[in-house]
Amino acid sequence: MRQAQAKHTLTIQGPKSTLEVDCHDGERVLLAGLRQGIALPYECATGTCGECRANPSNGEAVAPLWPEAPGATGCKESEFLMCQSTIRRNTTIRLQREPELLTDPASPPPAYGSATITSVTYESNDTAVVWLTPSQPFSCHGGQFILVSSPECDGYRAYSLANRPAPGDPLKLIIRRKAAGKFTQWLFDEDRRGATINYFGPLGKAHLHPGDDAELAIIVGGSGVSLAFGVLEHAIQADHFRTHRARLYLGVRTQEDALFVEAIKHYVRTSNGALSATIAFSEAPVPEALQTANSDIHFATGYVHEVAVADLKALRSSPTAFVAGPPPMVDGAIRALIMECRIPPNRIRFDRFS
Amino acid sequence: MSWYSVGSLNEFTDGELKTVEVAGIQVLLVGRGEDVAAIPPMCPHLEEPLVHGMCDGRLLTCMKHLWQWELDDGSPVGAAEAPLKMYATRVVDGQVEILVEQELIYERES
Ligand SMILES: Cc1cc2nc3c(=O)[nH]c(=O)nc-3n(C[C@H](O)[C@H](O)[C@H](O)COP(=O)(O)OP(=O)(O)OC[C@H]3O[C@@H](n4cnc5c(N)ncnc54)[C@H](O)[C@@H]3O)c2cc1C
Ligand code: FES
Ligand code: FES
Repeated sequence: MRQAQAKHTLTIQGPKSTLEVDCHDGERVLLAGLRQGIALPYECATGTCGECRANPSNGEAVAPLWPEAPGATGCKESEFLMCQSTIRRNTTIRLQREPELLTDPASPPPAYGSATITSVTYESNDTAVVWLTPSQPFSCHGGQFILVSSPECDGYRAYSLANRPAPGDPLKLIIRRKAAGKFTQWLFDEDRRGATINYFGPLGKAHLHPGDDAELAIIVGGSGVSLAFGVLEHAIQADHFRTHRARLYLGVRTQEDALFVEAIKHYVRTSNGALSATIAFSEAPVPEALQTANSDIHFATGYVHEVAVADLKALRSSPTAFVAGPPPMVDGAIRALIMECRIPPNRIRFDRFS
Repeated sequence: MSWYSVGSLNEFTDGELKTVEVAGIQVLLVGRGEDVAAIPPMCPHLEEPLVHGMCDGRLLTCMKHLWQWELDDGSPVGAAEAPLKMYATRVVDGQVEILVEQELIYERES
């Protein structure tokens, strides 16, 4: 048997129940559990948030894949990050919660796949729309994300889907270049069309649910616009706008960062008046000519959560809120939604792009 | 029985979160209108400092996964799966006092 195919048994022990899964040699414990239908705890799946901490019965059996992961800073000596570790032999890990099975037939477990980069369009110097053609059928809920890896950099990067693909459809990502970032440098520095990348997904809970029956409030900053588009695509497919309104708030710094204006106008028009869209500039006033030329969209000055909350406070019933983008922006929006708009936490779905 | 003074009531605004050390034990104080609630500094869910959370003087919310609790008795609200542990508090002549006999900690697997 080839080394890469060796597998170990991972026993996942909750306070009362136990489940067993396989973990291939070198495979991340979190991904092993998720692909076999176990709802293990995670948020970023990429080593930054610390959410996937677990306790192994035998620490020797765990091999960290990225010992410097920022999410590990809060770990006790006995703990490890499931998304940044593999196991060397059969191992038991203990979780605070009961390990649950992913049983919703509308949300099949995530899986590994490979995809070809078929198109890269630069919206600006640092933002690109990337289309991937997966080599196997892929589908997800609007708002979910995938993990992507390239041969040139270690580990995975998380990207929200900016569309809601059905099996056979390509996947759309909106990727913002990070200064000195390894994956984004790889993507932006050369023409990567035709390159093959590996992915794992779909992941994430900040998505539209099949039974959602409320107005939508979508508050996003920067590349969080990808999650907004994923949710809007799903809402259109599910005919959500026939019965419910939606409000989109996109936060950017200045007019130069206000990309995707045409795409947003398209969504506003497709919704037959059900969707209103606001772009908030945090660091610049709104030029009058910009507002006049784009009357389908409202432009405002201020932090996006402040602009959104001023509107949402007036709603009589709680919308379902989606929040995505840089962590401080996400936390600011959540705070404002709970404290000022009195939206119950179970109505708020969020992804911190950490 | 050891009651410790942690300041004057008028130093606390409604919903304000403040960490203090009492007899070598970290305690989170939360302004609750007429008085102050005193709780362990970490979330009963995971090791998340509740001082980063938010409070309106009645409901306390942890920023990490948005668990919420009633501040009058620590009972969980909505998705929260565990209550808050609370130190007894009282106001004597405008001074807030808390009763700390031993550190209140949450039982965690990890
Ligand atoms: C849920 C979620 C959704 C996101 N969606 C988007 C999106 O739609 N668009 C977008 O532009 N950005 C998104 N991000 C941010 C994105 O994932 C990357 O952080 C960003 O693109 C920078 O990647 P980089 O390789 O250029 O930077 P780097 O600084 O090289 O790497 C950034 C991240 O890669 C991982 N990493 C780095 N080194 C290692 C290693 N040695 N081993 C393992 N992992 C490592 C870590 O997670 C690190 O934070 C999202 C993040 C999350 C958590
Ligand atoms: S899920 Fe593992 S660190 Fe975020
Ligand atoms: S850590 Fe506080 S709610 Fe999860």
